[in-house]
Amino acid sequence: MVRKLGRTVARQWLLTASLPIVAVLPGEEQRAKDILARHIDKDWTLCDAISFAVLDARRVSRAFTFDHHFRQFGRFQILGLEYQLHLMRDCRRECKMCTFGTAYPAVSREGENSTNSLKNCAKTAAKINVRQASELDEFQHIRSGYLEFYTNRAQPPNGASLNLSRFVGGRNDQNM
Amino acid sequence: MTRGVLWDSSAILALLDADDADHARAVEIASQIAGDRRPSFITNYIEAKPTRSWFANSDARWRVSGC
Repeated sequence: MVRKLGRTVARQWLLTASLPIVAVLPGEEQRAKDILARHIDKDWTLCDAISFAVLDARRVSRAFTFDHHFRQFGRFQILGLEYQLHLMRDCRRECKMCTFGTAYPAVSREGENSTNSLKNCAKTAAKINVRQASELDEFQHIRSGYLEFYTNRAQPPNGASLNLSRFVGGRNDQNM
Repeated sequence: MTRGVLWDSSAILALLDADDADHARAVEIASQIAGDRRPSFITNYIEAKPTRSWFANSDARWRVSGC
């Protein structure tokens, strides 16, 4: 928060945030460590695993997050990423060449590798635009799809313009 | 299952940062959560995360993490 918003906002958050704070129990910490130990192929943080353990232990099914790690774990309804998935579905519907998110289930099982596609699409792609994607090696496989899509079609089809606008413009353009 | 919602640090940052790509959506979801009267909470780990770097070299770290 300090890096992104500065010290003032961080201080304000610390002193005035009114969200109830749950103290993690030792058993939940141990379960979090067990989760990390079981999934050595994932780059989850301890904080992520703590959240998974707390949600599980306290029978809470919803998390408000934009972190794709929660979807990788796969046991919860994720408020936030649902929207990004919706964007990707719209993108795929309109751009047949786009390979984003080709095989992800609506809800994956714990640690399922199919959610790796999300790492390369929903979380990241919802934040990038075409210009940024073209600069990243990991998006080489979709770059040609996007560029060809916009080269061959003067305008996105009806209904596509709104959702696709995030990929071709938006505030990121102003920063580039 | 309870009706509660765990707020992750990514959501909090998106909500507080008007320039965040997910800000508009974060505001929308937060409004929905409030409208649905779902009890929201964070963990002490999440509370510490956004301010961790601020306190990284501070004697006041205990104020956040409690340790």
